Amino acid sequence: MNAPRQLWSDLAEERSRCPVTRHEDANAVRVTSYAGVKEMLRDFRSFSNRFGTVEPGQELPVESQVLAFADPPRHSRQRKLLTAALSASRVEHLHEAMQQTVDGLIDAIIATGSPDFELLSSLAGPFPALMTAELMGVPHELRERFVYYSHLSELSTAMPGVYDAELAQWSEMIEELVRQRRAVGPGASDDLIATMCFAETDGQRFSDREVAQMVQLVNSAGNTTTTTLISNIVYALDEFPEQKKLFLSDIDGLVDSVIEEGLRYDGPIQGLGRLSQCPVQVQGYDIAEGERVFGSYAAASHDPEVYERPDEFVAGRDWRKLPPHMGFGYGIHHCIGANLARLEARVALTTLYKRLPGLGVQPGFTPEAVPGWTFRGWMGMMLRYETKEQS
Amino acid sequence: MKTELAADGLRLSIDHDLCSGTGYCQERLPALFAVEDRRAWLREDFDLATVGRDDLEDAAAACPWFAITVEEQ
Repeated sequence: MNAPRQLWSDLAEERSRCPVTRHEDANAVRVTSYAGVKEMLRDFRSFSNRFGTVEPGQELPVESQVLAFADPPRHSRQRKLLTAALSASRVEHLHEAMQQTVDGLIDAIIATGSPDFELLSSLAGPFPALMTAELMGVPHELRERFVYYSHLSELSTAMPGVYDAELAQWSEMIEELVRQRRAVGPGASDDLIATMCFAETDGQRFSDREVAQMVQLVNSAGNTTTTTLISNIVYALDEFPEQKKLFLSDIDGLVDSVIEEGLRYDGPIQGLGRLSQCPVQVQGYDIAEGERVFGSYAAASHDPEVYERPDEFVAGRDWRKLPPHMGFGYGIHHCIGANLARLEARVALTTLYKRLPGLGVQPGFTPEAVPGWTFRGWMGMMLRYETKEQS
Repeated sequence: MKTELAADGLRLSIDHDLCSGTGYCQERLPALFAVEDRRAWLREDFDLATVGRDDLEDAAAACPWFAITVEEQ
């Protein structure tokens, strides 16, 4: 049994025993039913984000309380300023740039002449990071460094402290971009950093530090998750050859439901935590004040009460009729990059399967799963396609 | 299907430039909201007067894209 199957089987067992379970070893409560995760995420007053969501602990310093690490009303103030820039209609403006970027990366894969390539490093990794840099208006000459720092910041979630010196340089780079925009004044550009610099609520603007923290969070929350979404779907399609065949028979018609199913079946975020602010109940079970509580999005999205054949990847589910999956979370913190991620995944998947015939996981390759409770992805994904020389 | 309804001096609207189709409004008030083509819509035949302002505000507050506006007209 591979790692995600083992995970879903363990989560199903935990859910059937009790959907709200205290784990002494992790010093945390885990919620594993769809109804339970939803109930918890709706109750943002009892379950706080400002103590962190990966390892909820100490209350974060105020300038670090941004977006996913903030509670209302601070959270609503910040989020309101970004929704227009990340709405479905707005991200559509990036469609052409996305297509060019993906085509460029696939050109480079084809140019090696080898039928084998590693998906994360050659496409699924750089693509979302480059698009975030585009969205932020990072100058071209700084993009490579910007993407590199962004990658380090993700590594640092697993290895805290190791990259602090480089991450301080990243903060400095971003704060410089902020200062430049402030110096030019509003209206000079409409990139996301400028939007954050000049957005006003009740006559107040964000501090340079606050903008820098938001830029870093959008990167660390948005890049690897999209990378993972793309590679998890490529792997899942190979696990279900009939579904892959169906998808390949109508790539444009099925890509959107394939992406929704990918988010449900094997979404990049396994679960996130909150810190309870008072004695509270979930599904009738008592939770003490000050408890670390994790909502397992993976378990909720595999709840047989909500989805038929939950452990199967079904390419053609009718998502107009199904309850929303938990791939983007639920409630006021619903992934703000969801529209961007969906479009990036659509461009990446359609282009990969159209341009690289016979694309699939390299025969004999067994990917290694990312460990822990937070993420669900693969460390690397070796793929193979049919080059002209072979066929 | 509409993006605007008014009754009793109250106006309810959905901004489709912001709406991203999470469907949370539909979950709160399925008789009023319906999601189609990844956008929320208001059912034509719904009489706004049959629902309390608090419930409308609650549905609006549930939108993570702040796409729903309830206002007096």
